Amino acid sequence: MIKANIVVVGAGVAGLTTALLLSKQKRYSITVVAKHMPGDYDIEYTSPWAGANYVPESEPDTPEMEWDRVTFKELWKLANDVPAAGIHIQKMIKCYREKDNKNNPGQWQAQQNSWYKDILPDFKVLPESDLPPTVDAATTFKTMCINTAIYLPWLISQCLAAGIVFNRSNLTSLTEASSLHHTRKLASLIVNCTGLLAHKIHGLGPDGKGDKLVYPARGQIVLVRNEVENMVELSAPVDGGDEMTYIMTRAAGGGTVLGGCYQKGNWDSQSDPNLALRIMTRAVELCPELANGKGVEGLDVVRHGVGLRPAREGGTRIDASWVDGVLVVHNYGHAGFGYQSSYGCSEAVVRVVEDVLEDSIKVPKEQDVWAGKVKL
Amino acid sequence: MPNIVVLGAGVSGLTTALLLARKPGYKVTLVAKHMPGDYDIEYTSPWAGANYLPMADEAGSKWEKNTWPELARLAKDVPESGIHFQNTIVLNRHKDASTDTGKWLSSLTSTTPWFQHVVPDFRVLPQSEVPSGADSATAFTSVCINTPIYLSYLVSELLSLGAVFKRAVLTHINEAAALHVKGNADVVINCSGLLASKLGGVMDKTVIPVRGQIMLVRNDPGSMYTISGTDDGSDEVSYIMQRAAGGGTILGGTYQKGSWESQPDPNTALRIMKRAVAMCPQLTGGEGIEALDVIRHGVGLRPLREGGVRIEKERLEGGQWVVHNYGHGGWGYQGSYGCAAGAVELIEDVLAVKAKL
Repeated sequence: MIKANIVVVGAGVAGLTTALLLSKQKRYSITVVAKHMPGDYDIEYTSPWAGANYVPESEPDTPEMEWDRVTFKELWKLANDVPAAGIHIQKMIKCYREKDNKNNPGQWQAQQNSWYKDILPDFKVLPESDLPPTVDAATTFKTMCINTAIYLPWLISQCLAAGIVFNRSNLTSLTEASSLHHTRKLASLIVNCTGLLAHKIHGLGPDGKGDKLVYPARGQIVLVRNEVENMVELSAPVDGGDEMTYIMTRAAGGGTVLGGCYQKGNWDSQSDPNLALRIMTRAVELCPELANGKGVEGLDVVRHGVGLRPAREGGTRIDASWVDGVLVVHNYGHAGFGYQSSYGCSEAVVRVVEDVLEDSIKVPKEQDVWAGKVKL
Repeated sequence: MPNIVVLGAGVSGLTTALLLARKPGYKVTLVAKHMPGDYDIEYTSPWAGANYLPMADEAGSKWEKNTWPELARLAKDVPESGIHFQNTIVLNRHKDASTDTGKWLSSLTSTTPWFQHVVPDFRVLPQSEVPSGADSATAFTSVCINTPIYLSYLVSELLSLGAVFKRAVLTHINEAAALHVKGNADVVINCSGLLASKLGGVMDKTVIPVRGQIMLVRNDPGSMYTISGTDDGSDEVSYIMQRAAGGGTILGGTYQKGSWESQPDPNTALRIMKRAVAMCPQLTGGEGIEALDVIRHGVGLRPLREGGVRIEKERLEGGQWVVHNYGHGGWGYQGSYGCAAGAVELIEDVLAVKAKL
């Protein structure tokens, strides 16, 4: 096994989880370099804005499904055994409405046959008598809600305990990170967890100007003090548009996240007040106990927020390439499933890291990856 | 099996709750309007630097003196807590002796301060090492706390010990006890900080905000710096500290009594930058303020209590026992363990009294 100096770029859930899993191999010296860190709220830094919870969107028999499966085991362990991580188990009521699925026949059938019914406890179709208002049918299961404000710092704490060093830097190019290892020696390898910023960081992409397949999928939320017993969500956007309805109470008094939307290509960082009203109205309509039977005025708002999910056409990128003479392993483009695939993706990255350190000759150049000479 | 409600999730509430939760049999519920993860002008702790630069005079030094050992232990043995040791340089200008800032920092800038044997490596710097702009200087090893990581670390420790967190907004302190998971509380600990001035049943009008404007930058200063005063006004100060774990570097600041203004003033920000670069040229590698890489600007309101911190027990009308621990001004973190221990002693007194009844 090779001893190596590794720099992980990015301190979102992907970068922190990858750094942590690499450290468990006990043969790497790791520095995390990032522009934004837990404690910051910035439109370029998605992770702190996330709810977050575990409800897989992946298709069966895909690598994405495997990532979600692996991650479930880790998060479930944390939820049960490590209260310090800020994750708690919550019942989810996933609601189906015919009017939102006019263009989506078979959606209810698919929802009942979700692959995760075999791993999420107590999965069943909700009896009609228990259906929330306006809902035609629902599935229910136990899953997890993550208080991201506690979980991200907890990941940092685990990294610090493992001897990982953190360096706050704003890189002009991805490969600048290779000279920022805390030993001052050149890094053997960089792990690229730049999320949304992969879109413009120098070095990536066919022309070194960034991976333009990465695009924002804007999510707006409202954090309220009101609490609910169960998570509730609509399984499809309202009227088939881009506005969603979901409610989740974070662990440890973290407040309740009301969402939301999934607006592809929208970079706007400011909360839209009218969308905020619609989000709150729909939440109260779907879950009247949220506001104790009052309307929207019964909600006690902590803040409004906007996060840009780092989506990627063609899916998440987990592979390796030589970027300007530096060996890079990529782990970015997790859209709205960053937390729920975090451990699975990071395990896959650890394997890629081990492979390329063993034999870096086979790794393609970044330009060649894009030219189609090598399959992504 | 004492049931305790702690009101407030700033550094005071979290530290007091932690000391209580570690005691066998104590059931702690923490109730707060704001929690770690939030940035709000009413919630001071996340805005703080923070570090250990004692401000108390010898007579009032107990709280800060008793906090140092735990902060040092965390810095040395518990990297998860987000605290690291930092060399600290304290610059003194003789002309500040008569100004508000100079008087506020007189313990800190003394060449024979009460804490010289509390902190490691205390020394008076030889004249040759005193930078231009100052008349004398002292140095010692202190700590710098990455406050977003540390506050969350305190929450994690509390969760591990079975403490429960509840998000609530109280209009009167009488509402606190019923929020305990068991439905009632033997003692309520009031760590409401700035909001002690507005909470029904407390309404402490001697608690005033002392506005501190800061900025967080990515640049590395090498050491922590502070100075006895500035030429930009009696309510403007200058300090630099780099947070642990890549937390960025805090540049301050202001000490504006009575100001509730939550928005950073852009001109104050420019002066803060200018003073920081003058005090520590290494920050920008000798370049000007345009070489500062700003993460964000911020404002925190230090919850100062004229007449000093309130750590005392009180029995409210109706019989509810309350122990107060609020009004820490700008020394909340550096007095946290000392004050929490003081509050815990009073809680034990109250419980002993109740046991006899």
